[in-house]
Amino acid sequence: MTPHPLTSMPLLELAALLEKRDVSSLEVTEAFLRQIKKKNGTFNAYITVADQKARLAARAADDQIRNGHYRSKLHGIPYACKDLFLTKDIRTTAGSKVLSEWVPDEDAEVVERLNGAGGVLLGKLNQHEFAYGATGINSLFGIVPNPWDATRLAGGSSSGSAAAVAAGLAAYAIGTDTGGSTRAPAALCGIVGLKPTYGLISTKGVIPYCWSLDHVGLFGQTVADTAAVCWALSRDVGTERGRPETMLHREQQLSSTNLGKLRIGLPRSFFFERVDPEILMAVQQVIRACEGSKADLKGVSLPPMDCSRTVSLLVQLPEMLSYHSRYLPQKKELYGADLLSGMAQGQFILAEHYVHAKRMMQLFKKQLNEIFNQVDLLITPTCPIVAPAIDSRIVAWEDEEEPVGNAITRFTSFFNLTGHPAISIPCGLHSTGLPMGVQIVGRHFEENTLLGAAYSLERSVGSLKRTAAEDVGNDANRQDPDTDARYPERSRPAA
Amino acid sequence: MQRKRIPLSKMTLKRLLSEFPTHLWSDQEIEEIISPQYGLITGFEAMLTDVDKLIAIDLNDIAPGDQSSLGRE
Repeated sequence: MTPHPLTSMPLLELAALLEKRDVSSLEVTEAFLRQIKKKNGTFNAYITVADQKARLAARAADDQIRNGHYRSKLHGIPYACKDLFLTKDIRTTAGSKVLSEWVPDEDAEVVERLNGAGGVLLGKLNQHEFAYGATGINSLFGIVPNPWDATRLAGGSSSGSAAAVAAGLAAYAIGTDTGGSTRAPAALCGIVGLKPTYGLISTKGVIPYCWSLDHVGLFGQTVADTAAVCWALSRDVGTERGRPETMLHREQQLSSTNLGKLRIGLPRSFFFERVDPEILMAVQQVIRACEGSKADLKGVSLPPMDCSRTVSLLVQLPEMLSYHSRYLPQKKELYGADLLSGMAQGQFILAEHYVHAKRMMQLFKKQLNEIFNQVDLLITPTCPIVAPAIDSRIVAWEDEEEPVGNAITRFTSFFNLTGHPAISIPCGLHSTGLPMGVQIVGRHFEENTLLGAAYSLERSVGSLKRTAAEDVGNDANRQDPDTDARYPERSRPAA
Repeated sequence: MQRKRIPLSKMTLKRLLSEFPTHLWSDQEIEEIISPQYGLITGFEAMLTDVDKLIAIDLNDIAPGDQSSLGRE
């Protein structure tokens, strides 16, 4: 049996070792820092590595655990966050020259909560500049190649977050999702990506892209890992609103969710059109797994989706421009050309059209809530394509050409308009060797049902072996110094 | 009756920039709006075609949403 390095273990397995003190947080942190040193030149996943601060945090976590103050599953676990999150005394660039030397004096609420739970922040992750764009291409800090194939994109805008988890450079990662910027790169990189209900996780201290649609996103190797982070970050908004049943933070619910008791909606149109045939087959396999578990499958008619991407852009572009009006007069020349053209487009959107789009959001939300009176969950592909080549601009379908950014987020952006929670989990490997993802969507604040179903399906369909990802740009992996016979290879189902 | 819209031109945008209080945009940025090359988002002309369809939808008295009902501060 090949020993498995610490950096490939899912968060919860690391947590078990830390809790039993079989390994120290400092050992785990040093292992990740070595991997980052070795691989970041290939992946460009990190913009800033906070190695000294990480070591300090790890030592503090070890002291606390040694003294009997083990706080949570995240205690002593190394993580990283998108460079859109404010971090006290750590440079926060938003992937842009505009903020290239900015060092905030406070943490984003998410970072504060994770550090408060004993998390060890390894550093700040690459992204599309100011979270604009689903390709994740960044002219200042470099393109983030896909860990499964370095000639392909990791996807964005949270490109570094997805690549870091897929390549074993962080145990879990935090990103954002305004139109699919967590779920899409997670699908393209073969990991789990969760966009919780709008408002469930605080965006305080996150540099805004579009206030109306911005969500914090979570990346993990497994559904259980992602759920642990979600529970640590969730605000008790359900309780505050008199709905105590909606967020029962109980791990047991994950494994006790019975798919056979759930009604699962399959959209009759849009989500299964213009999709790579192999992705369709993989999603159908997931649907068959639901069927095999005696879930009640129903065809559902969702609101007309054809213009949903435009509704999203009508909101995104003016809000983005409005935020950046603080920098444009003095720093316009520091922005990337693609972002500037998006802001320029926002300049010409009429106020009536922006308001109409905001009203459409309300209509979509109402219509989708009505669908959720008939079903508990929806299943769709996450992306209609696998990771595109790095220089892709257009996806050619039989009947039309589609900008690659639109294609990547075609099935995800609608759920930012409605605020419903949605998760992408891997559902197999394409014949190109690239991962494919399936998206599951749930009711507002019913993350536990969503995560429970995703956990169950992950066990049916199987998470992906990360071997392929780890081989990219890493010949030394075979003699990895982190390899330790104490930690045997975990048994993962084949894709 | 729906009016017939003529395709957007660079000249129209430049004229708006000169007469409205806007930020300053270069020729290159305006060109990208008319003939998008980056492949990131819908070109403006395609977006306006969608807008034509969207504003034809009668939203009755639905108010614009800020999703505050979902718990965001």
